[in-house]
Amino acid sequence: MNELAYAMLFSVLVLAAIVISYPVALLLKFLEDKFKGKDRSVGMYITELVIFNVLASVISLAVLIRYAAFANNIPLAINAVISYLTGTNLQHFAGETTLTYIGFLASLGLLQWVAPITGMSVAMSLISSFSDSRLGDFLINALVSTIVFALLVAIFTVASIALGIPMDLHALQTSGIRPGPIALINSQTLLGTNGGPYFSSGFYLPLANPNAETTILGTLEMLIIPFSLIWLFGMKIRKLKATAALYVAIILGMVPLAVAAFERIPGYPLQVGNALSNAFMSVSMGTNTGATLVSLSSLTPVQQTLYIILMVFGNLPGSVGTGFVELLFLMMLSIFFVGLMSGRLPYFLGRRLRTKDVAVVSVAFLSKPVIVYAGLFAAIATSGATFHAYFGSGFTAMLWEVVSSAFNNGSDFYGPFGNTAALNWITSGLMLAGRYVTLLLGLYLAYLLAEEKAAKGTEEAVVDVASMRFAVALLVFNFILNILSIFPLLALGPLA
Amino acid sequence: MTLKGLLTVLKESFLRLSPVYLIKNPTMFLAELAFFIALVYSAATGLRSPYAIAIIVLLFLTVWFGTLSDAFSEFKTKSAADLLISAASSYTARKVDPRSGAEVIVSAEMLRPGDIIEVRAGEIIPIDGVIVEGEAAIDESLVTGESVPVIKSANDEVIGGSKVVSDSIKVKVVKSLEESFVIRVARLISSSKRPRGENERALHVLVSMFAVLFSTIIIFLYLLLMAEGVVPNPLILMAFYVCLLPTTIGALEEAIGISGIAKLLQMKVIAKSGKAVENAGDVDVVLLDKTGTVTIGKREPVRIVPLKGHTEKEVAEAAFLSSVQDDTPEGKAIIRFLQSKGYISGDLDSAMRSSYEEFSAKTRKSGVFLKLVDGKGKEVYRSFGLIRKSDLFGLYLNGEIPVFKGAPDIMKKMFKVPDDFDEKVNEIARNGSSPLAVAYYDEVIGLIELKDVLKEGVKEKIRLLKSMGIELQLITGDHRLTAEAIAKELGVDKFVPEARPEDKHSIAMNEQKKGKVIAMVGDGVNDAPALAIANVGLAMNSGTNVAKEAANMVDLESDPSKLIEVVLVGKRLLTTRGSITAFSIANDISKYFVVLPALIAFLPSAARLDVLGLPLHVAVISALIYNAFIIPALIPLAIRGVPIRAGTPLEIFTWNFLIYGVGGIVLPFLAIKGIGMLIMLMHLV
Repeated sequence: MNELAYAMLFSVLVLAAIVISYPVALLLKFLEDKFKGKDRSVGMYITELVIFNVLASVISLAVLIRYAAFANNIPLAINAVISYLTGTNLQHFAGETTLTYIGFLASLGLLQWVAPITGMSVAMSLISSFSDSRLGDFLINALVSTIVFALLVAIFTVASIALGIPMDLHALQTSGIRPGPIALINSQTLLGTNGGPYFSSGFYLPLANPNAETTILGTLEMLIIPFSLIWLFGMKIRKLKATAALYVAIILGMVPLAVAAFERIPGYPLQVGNALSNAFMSVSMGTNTGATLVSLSSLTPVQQTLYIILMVFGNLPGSVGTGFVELLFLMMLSIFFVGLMSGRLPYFLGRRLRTKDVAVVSVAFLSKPVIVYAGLFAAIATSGATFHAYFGSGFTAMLWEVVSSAFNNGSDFYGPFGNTAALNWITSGLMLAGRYVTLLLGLYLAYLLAEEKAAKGTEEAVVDVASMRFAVALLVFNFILNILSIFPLLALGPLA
Repeated sequence: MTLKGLLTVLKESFLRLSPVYLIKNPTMFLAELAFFIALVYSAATGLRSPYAIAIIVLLFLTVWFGTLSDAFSEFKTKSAADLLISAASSYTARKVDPRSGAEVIVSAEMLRPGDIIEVRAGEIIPIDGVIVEGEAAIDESLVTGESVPVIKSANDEVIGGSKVVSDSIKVKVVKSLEESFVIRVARLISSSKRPRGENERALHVLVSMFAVLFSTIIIFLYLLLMAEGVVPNPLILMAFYVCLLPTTIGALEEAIGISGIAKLLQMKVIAKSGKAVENAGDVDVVLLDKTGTVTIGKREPVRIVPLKGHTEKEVAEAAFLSSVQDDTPEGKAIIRFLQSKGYISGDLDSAMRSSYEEFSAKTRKSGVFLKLVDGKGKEVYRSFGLIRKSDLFGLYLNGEIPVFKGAPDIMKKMFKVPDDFDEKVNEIARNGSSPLAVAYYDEVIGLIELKDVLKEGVKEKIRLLKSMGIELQLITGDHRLTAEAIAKELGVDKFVPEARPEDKHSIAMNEQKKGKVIAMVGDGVNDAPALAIANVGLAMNSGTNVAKEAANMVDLESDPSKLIEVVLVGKRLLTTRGSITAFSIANDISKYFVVLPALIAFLPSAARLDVLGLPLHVAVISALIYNAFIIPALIPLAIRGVPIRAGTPLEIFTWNFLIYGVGGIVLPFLAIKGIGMLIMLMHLV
């Protein structure tokens, strides 16, 4: 398959996901209107969110430490819980040898629901801060998200079973590489952009990913919820053209990167084929799902570089919830730049962007490179000779570990070899910072925007966010800002 | 620039290198820090290679060019301001003792409000004041640039610095010299305290964000290399750091800001605070006053419209009679118009002697009561076809016949009107003109169509503002139909007809509540509240003191249409700042391909990144030369500003992005390669 054919295939997959996500957004909107909750203060909202997340983590941890591998290694247990709580699913353990199916579902599997539900709720609040000048109620948003997520998981589990993925409920008490509730785990991990399957070899095994059709299904699953939030945004601000502009910005960013990364991957799973393996990997990086079906070390340096870039963008379309928050940050930064370069005060959908808003967005944007650089230094300084993280491929592996943690991607070179106390603690910190700085700053911004009254008729006049020009501006700023911050590390790792 | 000026600028530029001063500008402060690190490192290690020295010198130049551009642009503005101050303070005054009438010569600084001074022909009025006695021709060119002397008499305000050309006047001092307008503004400019506008503050946040980002990258790059057992060359690291820092915008930020005040000063608009200039750039809504702002304010008669039962000639005669004694520009214009059309004849004397009722804003009419009973009646009757024989005998109001002109609504209340009155009034209003009703005896006999002439170029400027998405509102005392016609002609969507000055205030308030930034002009006492709350309030120097105090800008030439220009200056300031920021950031991409390879020369990626193919140390030096010299190279652009184009914000952005963003990516590659080749050609290495 040549580049052009691959570009077509990839675009078709993305467009199909956009189409499928439309009814999901309709359902989200319908349920949100139906259950319209009280408007909470931002403090109350955050408290509820934190309690919800902490409670789930405690339950998950309690189940997890019933297994010896975790009970004897608390840093690993905490790392695992944080990893799944943040939707990262970085695994410093092999699922099939440490956990039974039921144990997985009750601990980490539970968090595979909590992460996307939290993300969707925050995104919904950000959207309604624009459309209705209110944050809404976290618990109501979580309820709506749960219903939609459960429905999607049910539908895609059935589809997975139909396409040949095993769903064996009799094997709940067992572990190892054998049939179990794989269809369920696959769909919740992919739909929630979590990325952690039961098996440590990811989606390479025919048992987890038996054929090309299941790969296509999996690729679509990763895109559906992130895309549905973009639909919801346009629906609620009554401007579907804004949604179109965002899709254009995403497609124009994602497709060229994916096509540039299209190469023959040595050792791609034969039941899937090279092209679909490429597509699955690119989407998994773009959505920061982190599900893999090939060994990362078998990727070419160019692929590694481009996949790291896709992870770092975090908004093509990014993972459930946080991707949308990142997209909004980018929109605001772009609007601000456009305003500066055209001599206008920045307005976003009729709301004045104040210096404070710009400061919040700037801090959010800065937080990522700061945690990546600091985390990478900490990881390399403490790992010593353990990981041979010297320039080139060794450095790439460690860079990947850090970027993957900070952007809640979860794919990694090390797997169970990464199970050292230092790396467990460092990546735990990175995963938490990477997720919650974005979510909480996103919420704070939603609060600031909800406070700022929209002025009628300004949005068109200043910067029309529903225009193709704006889509291109978004794309350009996305590239310049992200490449500027990550480039030196690429020069030390995959490019070296 | 004189040698002395040059020395001042140089001295100032060095003084500003003090870190205490630079800390206000984080980017330049960090660049200076990098320079110090490089300096200390090479001093401590005894590094004396030409390469090391070149790096240190270039790092210094980068910082120094920044302070130099600061000092230079400030000097230029300051010298203009100083000229005003020194001129104002050097004057002497002839102070008059109120009791004895004796005169003493004192310096202008000694004068206090309330003092009376006498100024004779050929002397300069030392201070702002109000004429209490006398009438004189005054040349205000020093302050307003208007070279034709104006005649001013009692109660007129005079500006310090203007010259009495003929006669002599007594002036009451209204403010001490320190408070006088020119001095206050000049001091403001000299003090260089320039508060930041909202957009500028946000830009500052953004530039600081990049400074923090690149600081993070440099610190951790150093730490990472060390952790891997590679000791990076601190000089190259610092060179890389300074190249990445947005020094171009950091160095020019102040120069851009000052250029706004300077540009207004050139336009003879004095900004009372730097903030007003910044606000001008942020304006979303411009409230236009019809008269003066968009039209010349002189309504010219263009047509006589007789009403049913009357002839054009009759109306012309009545208009003539009612205007003979009228000194208002309108009255004079009507006489001129009638003369040019050949309607003038008959006995002026009678009309001149008749008791004249002046126009006032309250009555909105003016005219005469013709005296026809004192023996002169016959002559008047013969020379004016208008006057019926019967009028001579039918006594009316003690033998006086009223001949009036005025606003149609008022006239309608006072006189009978023919059936077609309303129809003709509306017809004129629909043309965007104002009807003036002319009445004779007991009836309105006709209308004069007065057209307010649009100012030259005002339509184009309004179109420019509109294309940028700036909302324009026309606030006018005119009739709805007139206002609508004018708004249509101008292309303004929103208009408020029959507005009173108080309405301006409430409109401005409402718009501000929506978070919008308002610009408006005014001159009367009634305008003051609105001017005070407007983000950009431009008062006319010819206007009342109250208005001037309330506004944050004053136009010395009293041309209200300058409001549009002021807004454009502000926009230009903002756009320039944004474009140079984009340029500065875009430049960084090249640095990754030019300077980074030198830092990681031991890795194969260095060779892959090095697209320019220059020897590594030549590349570093070339990049530093480019990075430093781009600052003085852009000073003219910073001061002149990026040209304003018509278009929506996104279109303007696209254009500026193509020039300064894409240009900012490409230019350094070409320039650095060129500099590098030059260095190699000259065998400097």
